[in-house]
Amino acid sequence: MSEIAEPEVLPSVDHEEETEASESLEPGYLVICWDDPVNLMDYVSHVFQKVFGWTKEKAEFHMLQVHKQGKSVLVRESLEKAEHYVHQLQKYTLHATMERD
Amino acid sequence: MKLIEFDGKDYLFEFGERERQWFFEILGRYPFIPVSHHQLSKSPDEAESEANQKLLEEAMAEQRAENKKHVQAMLHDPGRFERSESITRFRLNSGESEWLLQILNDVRVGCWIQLGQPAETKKWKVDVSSEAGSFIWAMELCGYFQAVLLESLNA
Repeated sequence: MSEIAEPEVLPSVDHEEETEASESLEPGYLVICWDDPVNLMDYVSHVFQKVFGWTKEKAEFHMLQVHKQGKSVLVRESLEKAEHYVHQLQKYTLHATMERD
Repeated sequence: MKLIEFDGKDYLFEFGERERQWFFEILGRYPFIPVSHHQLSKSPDEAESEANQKLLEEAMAEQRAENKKHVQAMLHDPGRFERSESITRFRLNSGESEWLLQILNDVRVGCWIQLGQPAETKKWKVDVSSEAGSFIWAMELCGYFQAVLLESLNA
């Protein structure tokens, strides 16, 4: 992104339009955590805090979403970052996958 | 197992003798989850999914082999466990505690897979001396050790 944007030479309106277009074209991958009956709720919440650096409140919100709704979309990221997060979550043995948005 | 002391760097835990034996037996089972258990994606039509899945499995296998070495090194490190009569004290730093959580959860989830991935994990009706009983025993013990670790890490 930093290689494309040239804010010094573009009018501010044009720059904003270009940024919006660029973001909408950026391929995104959703990192999803799925419910299972074996991972402890406190453990899942702890893992979310460690992997994403979230607050306890945010981690618990997503943990409860997983528990009650069967899954939670945790983040939307580039392919590389999404793969990284899925790998991190799977290191902790959580049921995590990524899907193209 | 209980937390005795945290000095800002290391956690000092204490085991009774039976707990120590259980702890060693549980960790001796690592790794317990088949590498193919983890799926990168649920979309089978992704063009690169098969290649990416293979890469994931290779990475997981490599990491588990490394973890297994560390588990064995930890269990056989005489400086790690201080035994006196029926009590054993056991020291871990924060990073090791985080790592141990992963190891214990691998065994816990692995036991659940061996049990057929039942949806209900609270009401068991099995012979405790059976193979299934052994998996349930290990699963519950892992949960117990994890709960102590989590409580210590979040205290």
